[in-house]
Amino acid sequence: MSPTIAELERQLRSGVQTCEALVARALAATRETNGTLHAVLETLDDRARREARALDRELAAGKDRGPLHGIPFGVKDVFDVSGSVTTCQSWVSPREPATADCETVQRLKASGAICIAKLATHEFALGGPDHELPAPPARNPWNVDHVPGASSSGSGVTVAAHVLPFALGTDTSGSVRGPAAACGVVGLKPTFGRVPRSGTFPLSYSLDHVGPLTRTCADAWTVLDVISGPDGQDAGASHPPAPGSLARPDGPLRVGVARNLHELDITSPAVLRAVTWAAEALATAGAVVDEVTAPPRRQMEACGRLIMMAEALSIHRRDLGQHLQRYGRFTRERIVPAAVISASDLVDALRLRQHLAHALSHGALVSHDVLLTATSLTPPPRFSDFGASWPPPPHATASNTIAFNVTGHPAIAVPVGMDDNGLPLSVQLVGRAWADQQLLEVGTMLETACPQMQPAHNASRCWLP
Amino acid sequence: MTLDDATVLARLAEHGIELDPLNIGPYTAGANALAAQVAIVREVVPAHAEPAMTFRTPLTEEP
Repeated sequence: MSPTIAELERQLRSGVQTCEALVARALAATRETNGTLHAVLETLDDRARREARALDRELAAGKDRGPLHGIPFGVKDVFDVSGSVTTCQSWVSPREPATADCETVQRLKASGAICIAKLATHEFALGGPDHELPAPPARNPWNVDHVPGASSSGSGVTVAAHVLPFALGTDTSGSVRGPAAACGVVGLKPTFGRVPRSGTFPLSYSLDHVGPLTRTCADAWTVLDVISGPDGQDAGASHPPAPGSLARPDGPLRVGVARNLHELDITSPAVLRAVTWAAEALATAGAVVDEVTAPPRRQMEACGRLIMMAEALSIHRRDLGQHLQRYGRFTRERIVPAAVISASDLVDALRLRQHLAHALSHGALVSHDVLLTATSLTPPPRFSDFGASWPPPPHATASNTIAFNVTGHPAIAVPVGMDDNGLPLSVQLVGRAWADQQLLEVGTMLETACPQMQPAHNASRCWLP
Repeated sequence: MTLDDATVLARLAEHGIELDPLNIGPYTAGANALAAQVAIVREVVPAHAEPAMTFRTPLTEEP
């Protein structure tokens, strides 16, 4: 049985399950798995149990908050949760607890979801798998010698290991889609501006996105639907256009395989096969699939790296000056060099960003409804690939995701099977701006064609029925 | 153009970041990696001046 949000919703409504029992089992699962996976930094036992009991009473009284009523979830530890310290997995962070929930947690709570845990992240959503931080790095549930992607690692691990049905992460250069790919779950980076980031510690103001990690695309939509919409606080958030303006023209779905984004020397054969398989599966499902050329990968990569690192330095410069050595080695070695980026170079990158977003919107995404490419260019690397200094070897950071943080278009990682070493394979689908729901529907087409991923960690002890 | 250790140390100092010159190696390597990205952007950024960009979203022109 698939323990998706949709399945749990049915169990709760039928009386087979209670909110309190779900929370109790999720909390038990965090403790059972954390000695191996290190995906959970803190559990919120009292709060979660209190909310669960109240939600059970509501259901009994006929009050139903919707599909997330009673569903437990976790958040990467860059999201504020009232009463909990937002550590960002760093020695640098203040140790005062947050005084309020961040906007997305508030919205999920209002919809009946129950936040039970703060989850592992790379330091300040950047860093790397550093063993000298306040908590050890999370490990990949399919093979603990491998990293679970970066940086929303705990979010990917807990969903893949069936500890939680969904989790929130942040994605600045791929940190929702990367862990989703490495762990074999669905990861959605929504359209830029769709989800407010208020109360979430920033890495890069103009590239950060908040998104869900789930086991199905339908579940991702369920979560996205709740957390979407401006909040009056995040200047980057805005209203989606009227639904009618997003209607797809009549006719078959048109999928463009953007080979120029993923066919590189470094790309593993297994990843190439996964993209080919996905293209064939969509064609079999009735889509018209052909090739398309996206804007040049190296331009989108360069543009994104400059913006991200310049903004990260702006955020951390004071703390770096005062206590550089309290930062993890990977974090400081990645942020500090941004001091060489000049103001005019940053402006150039921002101007180029506009140009690239326009080129994608008015080029490949006019002729095609959806682009298909790889999520990561290689399977998840081993911890031993990361040495004493940044960067690790190229294959260890061979992502294919920052392009759509630059352009802002919605993108999802969808698991499509395993490689010969038992590690997940994933493809990435990219949609038109604000057409997140259509994109997830295409993801569902792929899921239908692909056998569902089994629980990743110790399946015989999967905590859900 | 390749940045040397002294140049990188000087730029960091402008930002209030003091580093032991003996440990500058990884930072100089990182600075040169970013300099390579700068070169790509400078090469391809449109020469003409577009209307002012917006911080709000790159997708404001979308339907």
